[in-house]
Amino acid sequence: MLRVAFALLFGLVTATAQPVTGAVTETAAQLASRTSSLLPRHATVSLDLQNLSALPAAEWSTFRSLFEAELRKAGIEIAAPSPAEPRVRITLSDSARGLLFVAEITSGDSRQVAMLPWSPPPSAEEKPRVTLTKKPLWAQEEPILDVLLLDSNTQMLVLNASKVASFRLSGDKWTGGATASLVLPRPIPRDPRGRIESAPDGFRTYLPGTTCTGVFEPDLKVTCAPGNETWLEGHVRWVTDRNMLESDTVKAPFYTTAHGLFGGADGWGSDIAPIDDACGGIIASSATNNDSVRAYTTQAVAESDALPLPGPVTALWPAETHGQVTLVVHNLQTGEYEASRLGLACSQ
Amino acid sequence: MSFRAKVFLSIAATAVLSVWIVAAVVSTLVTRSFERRDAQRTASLVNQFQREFYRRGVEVARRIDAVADSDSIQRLALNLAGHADTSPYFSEAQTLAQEQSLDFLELVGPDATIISSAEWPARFGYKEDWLTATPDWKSQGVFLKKEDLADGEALGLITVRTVKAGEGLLYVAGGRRLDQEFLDSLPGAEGMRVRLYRVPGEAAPVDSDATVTTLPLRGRDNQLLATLLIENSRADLVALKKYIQGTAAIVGAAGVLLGLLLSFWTASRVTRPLRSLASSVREVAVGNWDTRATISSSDEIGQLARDFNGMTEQLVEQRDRMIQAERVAAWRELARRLAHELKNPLFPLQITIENLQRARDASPEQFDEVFRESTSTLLTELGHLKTIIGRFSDFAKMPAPQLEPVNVNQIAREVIQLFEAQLQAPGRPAVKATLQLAADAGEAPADPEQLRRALHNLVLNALDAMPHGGELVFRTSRHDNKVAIEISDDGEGLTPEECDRLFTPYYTTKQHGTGLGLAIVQSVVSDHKGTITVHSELGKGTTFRIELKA
Amino acid sequence: MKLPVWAWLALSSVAIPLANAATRPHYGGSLTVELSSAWTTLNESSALSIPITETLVRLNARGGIGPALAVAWQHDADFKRWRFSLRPKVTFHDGEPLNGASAAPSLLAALKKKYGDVSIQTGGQAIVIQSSEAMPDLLADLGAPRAAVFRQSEANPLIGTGPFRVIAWEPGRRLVVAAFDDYWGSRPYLDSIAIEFGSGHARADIFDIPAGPARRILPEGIATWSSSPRTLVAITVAITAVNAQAPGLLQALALVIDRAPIVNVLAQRKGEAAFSLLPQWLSGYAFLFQSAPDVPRAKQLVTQLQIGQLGLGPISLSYPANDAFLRSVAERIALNARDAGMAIQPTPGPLNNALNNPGGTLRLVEWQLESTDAAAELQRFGEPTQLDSSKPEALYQAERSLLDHVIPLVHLRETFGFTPRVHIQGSDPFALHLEDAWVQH
Repeated sequence: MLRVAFALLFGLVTATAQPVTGAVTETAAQLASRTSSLLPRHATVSLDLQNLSALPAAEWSTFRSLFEAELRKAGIEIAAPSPAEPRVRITLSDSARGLLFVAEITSGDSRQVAMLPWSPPPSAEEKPRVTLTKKPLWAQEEPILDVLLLDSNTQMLVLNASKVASFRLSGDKWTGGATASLVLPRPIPRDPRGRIESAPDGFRTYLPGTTCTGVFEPDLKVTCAPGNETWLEGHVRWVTDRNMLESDTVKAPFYTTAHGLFGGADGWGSDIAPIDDACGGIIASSATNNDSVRAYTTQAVAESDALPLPGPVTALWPAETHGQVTLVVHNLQTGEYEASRLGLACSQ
Repeated sequence: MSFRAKVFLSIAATAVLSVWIVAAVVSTLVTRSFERRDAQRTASLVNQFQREFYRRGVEVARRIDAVADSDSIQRLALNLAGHADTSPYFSEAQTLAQEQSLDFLELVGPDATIISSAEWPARFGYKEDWLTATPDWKSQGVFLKKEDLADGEALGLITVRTVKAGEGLLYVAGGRRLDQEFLDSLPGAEGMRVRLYRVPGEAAPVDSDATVTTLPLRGRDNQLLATLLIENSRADLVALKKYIQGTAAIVGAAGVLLGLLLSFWTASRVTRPLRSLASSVREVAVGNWDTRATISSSDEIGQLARDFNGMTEQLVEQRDRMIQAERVAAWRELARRLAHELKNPLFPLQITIENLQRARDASPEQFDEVFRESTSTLLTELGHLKTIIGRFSDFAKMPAPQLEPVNVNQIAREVIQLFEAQLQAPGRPAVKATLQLAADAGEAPADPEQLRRALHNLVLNALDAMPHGGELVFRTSRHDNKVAIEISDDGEGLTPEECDRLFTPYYTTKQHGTGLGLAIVQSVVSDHKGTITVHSELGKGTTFRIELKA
Repeated sequence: MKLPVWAWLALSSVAIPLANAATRPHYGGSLTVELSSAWTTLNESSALSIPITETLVRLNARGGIGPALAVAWQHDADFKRWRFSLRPKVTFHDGEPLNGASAAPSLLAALKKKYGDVSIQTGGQAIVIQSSEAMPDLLADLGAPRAAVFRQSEANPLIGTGPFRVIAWEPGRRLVVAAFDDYWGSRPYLDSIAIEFGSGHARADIFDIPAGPARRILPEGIATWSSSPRTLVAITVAITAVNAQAPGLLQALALVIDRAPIVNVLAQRKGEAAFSLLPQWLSGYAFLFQSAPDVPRAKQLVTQLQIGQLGLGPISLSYPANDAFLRSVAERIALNARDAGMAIQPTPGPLNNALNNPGGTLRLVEWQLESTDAAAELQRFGEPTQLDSSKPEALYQAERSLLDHVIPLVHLRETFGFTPRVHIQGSDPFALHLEDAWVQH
C-alpha cells in the first residue's frame, strides 16, 4: 500500500514539470510549436542554434534539422539575419534536473524567452573491445555481489546486497524468476561484497556478518543467521561490518586471495581470483585508473594483454564452473553493474 | 619741573640711551653672526641631502636589478616568450616588492599591459604606455615620477629595467616612495625639517622662526613634480638671541637703574647747593631776611651763595636802617602829630589860664565868673586832651589780632546795623546804605573786633565825606583766595596826592578827628596780612578796598 | 533500466583524477582536514559533506525526491495533511531509536519558520504534519539541510542519525567526528575525521584551496578536486525609498565591470563569470543574463544621474575585512568604476553575507548554494513567491526580478587538495562526500 502511494506521489510530483522524454522528433516539434506561438503568423526570422550541453554532435545535428523542418511546418520562414526581422536563438544547455531548451526571440529591444526541459533517450552502448574471453551474463542497477550458475548453466542466482534473484535461461536471454530477500541482522557494509556458493541442499550466501542458507523447494527461500562461516573451500571468512576477509592461516585481514596469494592494495590491484586453466592461474584486476583484467601465472607473471573494462571491478570470484571467473564491473557510463564470466582462450 | 628733576632726567636719559645703543649694536652683531652661520649650515645640509638622495637612487637601482635578475622574473619572461598565461603571476610584484623593500613595483608585458602591480594590485590588465614609449631604459637611470595609487598620487624615485621575453621585453619598473617618511629617514641635523610639497601647490605653513630653502624636484621631462622645503629651525638662534636680549635687557635695566640712581645722586649733589640757595631766597621772600645760604663749594654755586649772603646782609642792614629811619620818621611824625594835636587844646588852656590871671588881676569881681567859665573851658580842653591821649593810647595798645574764621558778610551787616541810626538821623541829609554782599564771600581768618573797628572807621570816613548825603555802598566779594571788602561813597573824592598820604597817621582832611582812623585801619589790615587800597575820583566818590587772605 | 546519458556525461565531465578506481576501499583510519574559513555552526553549507544529521527525504541527482529517513509518504488533495513513515531500525548516535516522538521536535522547529501554524502528531514510526495552509513544497522543505532530524543534550550539541557522530566541537577551531557504527546505511570506511579551521598549514590529508592566487606551493603528489561552481560573489545594494539613485547606480556599475580579469586572474580560473544568481549548471538558463561591459554607456548614465562622481564623495563598497580575495575584487571593481567616472571606495567591514542590504552603500558578499534545488535556492535569495524547480520559465522570471538589487560577479568552485592516501568513492560535482572516503594505510 505504502509503496503504491509512493509511486503515485512521485508521479504527482513530476507530472506538472513533465520534461519531454522521448524521441528527438517529438521534442523538436514541441519546441517549434512553442517558439512559433511567440511569433506573428507567417513571420520570417533568422535562426541561430547553439549546443551548450554534452549532447553528442550527431544527435544535435539531428535535432537541428528536425527543428528547422518543424518550424517551417508551423509557417515560420527562416532567412538570413537582418535588422528588421526577429531573431530566434535556440540553446540547449545542461541543468541540475536535466537538459533544458531555451528559445529566445529578440525583436528590436524586446526579448521573449520560452523554456522546455528535456530528457534525451540514452545513446547506444559502446561495446568495449575484448581480448580475453568475456561472456556477459547479467546487468542491473543494483550492485551484483556474485553470480552462481546452476543446472547446467540454465539457472542463475544473482546475489545482491538485499536479495537473491533467480533467473532462468530461455533462449539466450535470462528471464527473472523468484527473488528471496535477505534479512540481514547487520547492515551490509559500504562497498558490499558477498559470495554465493552452491550447497548440497541448495546454496549458501556469505556476507560480512551474515551467513544465509538458501533452498529452492518449494520456493526460493533464504534463511540468514548472524555469523561468519568459512567458505572458499574452508579457507576464508568475512570480517563483520567490513569488506575484508580473514583466515586462520593469515595474521592480518586481506581483500582477496588466490592460490595462496593474498591481495593487499598495491601492485596487484585489488582483486585476484584463481582460474584453473591449463594456461593460467590467476586473473587480476589492475591498479590503474580504469580497471582492466589480466591473466597471470601463479608466479605472478603477466600472461595476457590487459582487457580494458568500462569501470571498476567490484567482484572477482572463482566461478562454480571450472576455468571460469565471475567478474562484476560497475559500468561508470551506464551506472549499471555488469556480471560476466571470464575465461582464458589459450592461444599460444 | 624742578632743576633737580631736569638734571636727573638728562643724566638718566644719557645713561639709558647709551645702554640701549650698546644693546642694539650687540644684538645686531649677534644676529648677523648667527645668520651667517645658519646659512652655512643650511647649505651643508642641502648638500648632504642631495648626496643622500643620490645614494638612495643608487640603492633603488640596485634593488630593481635584483628583482629583474630573480628566478621568478626569469620564469615570467619565459612564460611571456611562450605566450603562456601570465595570470598566475598576478601577485608576484607584491611578493618581490616585499622582499626588496620597494614601495612600487610593476611587471609590465611587451604590449604595455600590467601583469602585476605591487602598489595597486587591482590594476593588472591596464596599460602603462609610457614604458614602451622609451626605447632605451638603461640610459635613463633613476628619476622622479608621480605614481597613481588607489588612494591618490604619490611621488616615487623610480627606475626601469627590461628583461628579454621572446621577441619582446618584460618591463620591471619600481622604486621607493618619496614621501615624508622617506625624508624623515634621511640623516639630518637637529632643528632641520625637510618637507615635501606636491605640485599643484598645497599651502605650506612655514614656521616663522625658520629659514626655508626650496629645492625643485623635477621628473624625467624636466617637469616640476614637487618642491622640497628645507626648514632650518632658527629656534636655537632665536633662543640665544632671546637669551642675549634678555641678558642685555637685565644688564641694561641694571645699568639704567644704576644710571638713574647715579644721576639721582649726582643731580641731588649738584642741585643741593642751588636748592639750599633757593630755599634761602624763599626765606628772604617771605620776610626772613636773616637767612644765610650755605656755602658748600668754591665753584660758581658757592660764589652765588656768597653773593646771596652779601645781598641779604645788605638787605638786612638796609632794612634795619630803613626801619630805624621809619621809626625815626614815625617818631617825628608822631611827635609832630602830638604837637599839633596837643597844641590845639593847650592853646585854649593857656588862654584860659591867662584869662584867669588877668581876670584875677584886672577884675577880681569878675573873677568868679571868669573862674567858672575858665575852669569849664579848662575841663573841656582837658577832656579833649584826654581823648587825644586816649586815642594815642588805643593806637599804641592795639594788640595782635586773634585770628578766627569770620563771616565777612555778617561783619558787614553788623557794622551797617550800628550806623543805621546815624545814617537816618534827622537833621542830617540821608545817606543810603546799600549792601552788595557776595553770597560766596564766605569766611576769612580775622580778628572780628579789630575788623569791625577798621570797617567802622572806614564807614565813618565815608560818612564824613558825604556831608550832603549820598549813598554808601558796602560790597564784599571773593576771588583768588582773597576776600575783598569795599566801602564806597559818592562824596567829594580825593586827589591822587591825597590818596597817597591817606594812610599816614595824622593825615586827615577832616576838620576834626585825630587822623588816626585810617592809620588804625591800615594797621589792622597790615596785621591781618591783607592789603588796603583806595580809589577815588574827585567829585565822584571814593572806594576803600580791603583784601584779606581767605 | 539505464539512466539517461546526460546525467552521467555531466558527472564524467568533472573527472576525479584521484580515485584509484581499481583498489578496494579499506576500512579504518583517520582523516585530517584543514579548512581556511571557520565553521561556526555544525551545519555549515560547504562542498565538503560530513553528514552528522539526515533529513526525511533527499534530493537526488535528477532533482527528484527520494527516501532518506522517511521511506514512504502520502498527502491529502489540499497538501495540508502529510503522513510520513519513518525508516525502521534507525538509531541516533546516542542509541535513542528514531521514531515519531524523537524526530518531531527538530522538524517542528524547522517547519514553523515557514508554516506558522504547522503541527506534528506522532505515533510509533508515523509522523503526521498538518497546517491550515497548503504545503505543496513540503518535500523540498523537508529535504533542505535546515530540516535535518536531530536532538541535543548538554554533552552533545548535535545528536543526529547520520554516518558520523560528533566527538569534539570547538566552534571556529576544531571539529572531530567519528564513524557511527550502527548507521543504518552502513558504517563509513573512516574511523574518524578531524577538522581544523583556519590554521592554513596544508599538512592535512584534505585541505581547501581558497580562491585567489595560490600562496602556497602544493607538495608533489597532491591531487585536487573542484566542485561545480557553487559560491556566488556578488555586489548588493538596497533599494529603499531614500536611495533613489540605487537602480541607476547598479545599472551603471553592471555596465562597467569586466568579469574576465576577476575570474582569470583574481580567482585564478577557479570559477566562471556570473551574470545570474544561479550558476549555469544548476538553472540551465544562466547564459540568458550574459552581457558585455559597455563603458561609454556607463559614463552616459553616470553623467545623467550624477552618481557618485569623482569629486562628489565616493560610494562605499564594503567587503569582509579578513578576506584578501574579496578585497582584491573590491579594488578591481573600484578601478573599473573609475573608468566610467564613478568614485567607489572599498571599505573593510564586518562579515555579513545577507543578500538583503539595509544600508545604502554597496556590499560585496559571498553566497553559498546549499542544495541543487533551484527553487529552494532562489527562495533563500529572497524570492517571496513559491517556486517549482520543474518550471524553469518561472524560475527565470523570479531570478530576473531578484537581480534588480544584485550584481553577480563570479561563481566560484570550491577546490580541495588531497594527499595520495585519500580516496573517495562515487562522484558528485556539488559536494565531496566524506562518508564515502577511505584512506590508504
